[in-house]
Amino acid sequence: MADQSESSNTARRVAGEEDAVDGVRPLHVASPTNSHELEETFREATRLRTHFVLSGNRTKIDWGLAPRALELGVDLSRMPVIVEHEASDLVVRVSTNVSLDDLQLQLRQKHQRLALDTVVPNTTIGGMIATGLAGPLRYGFGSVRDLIIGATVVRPDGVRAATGGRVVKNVAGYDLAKLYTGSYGTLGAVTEAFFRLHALPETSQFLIFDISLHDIRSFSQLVLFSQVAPSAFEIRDACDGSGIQLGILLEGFEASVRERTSSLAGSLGQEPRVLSHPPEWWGSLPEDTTFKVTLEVASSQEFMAQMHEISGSSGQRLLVTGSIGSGVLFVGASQADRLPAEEIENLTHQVRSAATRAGGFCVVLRAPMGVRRSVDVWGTIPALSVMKRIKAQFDPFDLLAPGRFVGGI
Amino acid sequence: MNVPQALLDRLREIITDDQDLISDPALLRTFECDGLAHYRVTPMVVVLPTTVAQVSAIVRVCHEMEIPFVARGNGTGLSAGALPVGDGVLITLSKFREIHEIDRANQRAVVDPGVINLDVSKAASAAGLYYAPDPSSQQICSIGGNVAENSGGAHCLKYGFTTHHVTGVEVVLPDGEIVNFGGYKSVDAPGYDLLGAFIGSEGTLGITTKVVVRLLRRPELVKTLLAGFNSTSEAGEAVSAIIASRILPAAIEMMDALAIEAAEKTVQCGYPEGANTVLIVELDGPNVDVSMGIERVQHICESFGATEVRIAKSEAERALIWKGRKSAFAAIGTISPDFIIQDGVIPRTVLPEVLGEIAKLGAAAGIRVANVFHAGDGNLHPLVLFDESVDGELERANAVSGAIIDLCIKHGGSITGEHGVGADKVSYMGKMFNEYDLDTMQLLRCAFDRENLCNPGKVFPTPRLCGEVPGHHRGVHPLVEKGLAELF
Repeated sequence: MADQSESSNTARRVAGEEDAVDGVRPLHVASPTNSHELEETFREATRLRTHFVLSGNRTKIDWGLAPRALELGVDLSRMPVIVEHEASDLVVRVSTNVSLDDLQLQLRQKHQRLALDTVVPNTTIGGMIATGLAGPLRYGFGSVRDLIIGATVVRPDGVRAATGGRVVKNVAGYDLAKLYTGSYGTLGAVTEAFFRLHALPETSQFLIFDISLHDIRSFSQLVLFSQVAPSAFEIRDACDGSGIQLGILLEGFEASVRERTSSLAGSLGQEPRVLSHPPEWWGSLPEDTTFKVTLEVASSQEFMAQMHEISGSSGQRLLVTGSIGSGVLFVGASQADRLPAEEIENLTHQVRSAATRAGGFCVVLRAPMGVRRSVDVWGTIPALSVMKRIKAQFDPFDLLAPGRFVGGI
Repeated sequence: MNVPQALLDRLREIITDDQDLISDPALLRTFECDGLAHYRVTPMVVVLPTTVAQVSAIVRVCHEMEIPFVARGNGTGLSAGALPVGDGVLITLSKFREIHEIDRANQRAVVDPGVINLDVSKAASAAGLYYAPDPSSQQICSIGGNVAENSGGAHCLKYGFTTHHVTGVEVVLPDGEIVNFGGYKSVDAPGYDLLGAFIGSEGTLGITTKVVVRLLRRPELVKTLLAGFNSTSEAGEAVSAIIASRILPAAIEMMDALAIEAAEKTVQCGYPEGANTVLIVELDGPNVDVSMGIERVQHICESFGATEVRIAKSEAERALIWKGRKSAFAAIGTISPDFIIQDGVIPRTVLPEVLGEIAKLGAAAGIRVANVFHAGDGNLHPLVLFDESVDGELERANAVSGAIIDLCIKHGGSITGEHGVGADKVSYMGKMFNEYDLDTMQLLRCAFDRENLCNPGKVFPTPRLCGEVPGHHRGVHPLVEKGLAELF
């Protein structure tokens, strides 16, 4: 490891325990305060072959895998704060160190929003982009990758580049903003992003239906083929026979929301509980060990039945939440860290097999370190060889967050 | 160009039906251009494979022999994105025409790349579903081309582009490997978003051989409004007010006086008498929302000076409103012998300002410019009119057309909203992006196509392509003339 004292003007300090990334402690932490310093920090890291990992508010710093090597933490939280809200164009330019909640507060002043949920409290825009994590609104508006229209990135070699732009409709060049979204900070730092915005609805109403396991398919098909245009379509199931809740968010003109509520109640044959605020479980991840499961929407009933089976047989209590309308679920296993390694492995295998049968994938989204070290966090990844070639192009010396992402990337 | 015998021999091992391997110069000429007919290059050889294994084998041969190749769908693109390479192989996917599956319960369709866009919706209609992206050429363009170009359409204001409606693709990489990107019928496949990076890459990262698309249920109600204004700026302000009123229309289209004149002359669409500008606003969705929304839009138009507002009361009235709009490009051919269709994007809010600047550019050059555009998302399609038989007009028209793109860049917009960069706009890429931006995009390309064999000469500026002029159309587009396509 080369001497970091050769560094530029960027503030650096000796790292402490609190700077560890999934148990791996860097030697130093750099806190650039502008893009120039950030670029210089990266350039120098590349020159000295220093391994580095990026962080913002550190709310998801222990997601993925521990870095294979780490000498330098790069803290992006002191970068300049930018929020340029072009309300008339329904677009915002935002620096990625801004928290999603702060951004929403500013957008709200002009009756607009970025139609993405704060899934992990205090998350920054950067953390949201890095993990591509979206909540209930993804059913109505899409995910992070669907709403990001442009970005400024700093590559591992310190080169700053722009992709996309500030207009929604734009097909000039490759859409690198999508490539960076969900890349777990392995291709560089996204310092600024442009997002497409939506108007805040005049009214929002949450409808909660109680259903049983064997009703999942018929209910969800009725909702998917209804004309009520939900903004979100969620499920919550503790997998203990206490009942399954389906949550539907309707938004729009007040008269329309009223009309659509009664229309949906009619077609589902059940009067829902109607709430003006989301229930406490809405859009949050189950605690502790959480699998992210994707699946074909028509397979959700079979998948949930298997979760009930696993929950009953393994002594594990599973909790499933997520967007059943989009086919993206979160399966929580609260006691996983107390299980012997072999059983955790077995549990992961069972959930993953169920996801595969349902036409999707399963990754360990977050879990105590002990759990993640005993299982295959990412599973089998299609087209992994292409991903490795991309990583090799963007980060030829494998310096940025090595080993954090899929297939050892 | 003579085809190397070694190449022909190897291709014949893969493509055994003689009709599907074309090297006769006269027949090759059929493939020399796409929808932007100004650019013409005759390929060395054309192959029409019928299986993905054949596509893979052909690409492997090209890769081994270092021969460039270009994939082509139905050749309707307007940026010369499927322009062949003279010393290369053109791989035509027109025999990949099967709709493999309409999966109603999962709201997905699995289709071949050569399937016509509109045919997906037709096949899905019995299930109450449709495919949302509706590029103007949807009666003739293929899904594989839509994936390459990330096609939009009049309704992408609300529904987004191809990239929002494709959940999986099977791709033959530039070295012949067959891979799958995306989650097939599920979303959020783990790892890098290769699907997102691939869609819109204009055929430079590989060849699409299968596509899984999202299907949407048909909306409960559709309402279409037509409003006439005395000026484009009044209409532009009305558009801003509609967007600010929390309504998200499915489409907002605008036409100026010259475009209206041409449309009336051609299809007698009965637009408001004497209107300098018309707006078409379409809302779709649940009954109550659409009914309330359209009233609100009507009120806004009236308060911004609309001289007349009509809401279509029947499907026939709705069709007539759209007929005027849809005929506009073709109709221009009746008022001008030659024209350039430009495609650029500006932030919606600078619309009146940019239209003023375009008018000034035209006046200064003595060139007429008709404006037809997707006003909701700031996607301009200025039609630059000229007569090639008049000395110097072509050059002046090209200069105006180029200056319009410069305006788009100056105002923070884009050099293309839906037609793509292709071969046509490579010289503008360096104006919109700096060398580092382009270099970073090239990193992605290098990860896929190190040898630069897959659709070379497109998207990225190279010395060989510097200084070319934007393509221009003479009279009516050949596809329009044959009744195969409508231009929006």
